[in-house]
Amino acid sequence: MEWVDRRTLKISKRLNELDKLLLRFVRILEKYFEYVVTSGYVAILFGRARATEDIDILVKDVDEEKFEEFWKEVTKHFWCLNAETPDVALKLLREDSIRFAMKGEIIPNIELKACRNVVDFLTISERIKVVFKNNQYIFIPPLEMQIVYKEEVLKSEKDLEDALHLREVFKEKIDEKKLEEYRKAVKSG
Amino acid sequence: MDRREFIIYWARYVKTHPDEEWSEQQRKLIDSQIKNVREFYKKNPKIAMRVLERYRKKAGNA
Repeated sequence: MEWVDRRTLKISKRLNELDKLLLRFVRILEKYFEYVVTSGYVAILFGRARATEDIDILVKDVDEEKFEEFWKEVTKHFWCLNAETPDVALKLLREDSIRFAMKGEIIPNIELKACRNVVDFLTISERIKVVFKNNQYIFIPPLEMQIVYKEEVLKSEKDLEDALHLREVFKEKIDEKKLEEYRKAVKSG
Repeated sequence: MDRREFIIYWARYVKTHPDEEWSEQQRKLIDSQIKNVREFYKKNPKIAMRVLERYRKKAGNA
């Protein structure tokens, strides 16, 4: 792993099934949404020795017209597990989440959630670009935000272990001031 | 070695070894777990349906 600048990280990993699924999906997603891939996948991206059944993505909301264009394109390659029409899917995205998987499969799947609060928008506005060996890329939250969110909000054993892994891998890179800044933001909701 | 110690041990391994090296080990672990789950669902379609229903029910409650 190599930092190109403060907001760009290069990684030369061999791609697993989760990485490949995600890269296929975000090539479509990025045409329509600003996004960050969050939660467990971020720890897995940086080496955590575990799998996951779903990859979480946070997106900035879009209007109906743009969502319909996204729906048309995404459903050529993926199927939505919990909605059959774009209007239902958009409603669900705004109220809860929607899930997509490769056609004929359930797992692994990708769960999309729309930004709902200040922390969500902050996470997207300060996102980091991760560039793979094949020059494909994804966006993730700042590492400090990811750690704080796992330690303060999610808090399950698995999430605390993910945070520990990220803290250890990026020990020299983690900005303690930023960590506390994000902690305050997360705690104040 | 307990879980915490193993996580720290593995994170240090990731940090001190080339990406290609740790990720090849990780790839084998993740791909085999996904393969196992896919095969399990193929052999147990009722359970697969239940998982799907759970996603849909959650959506229905939103």
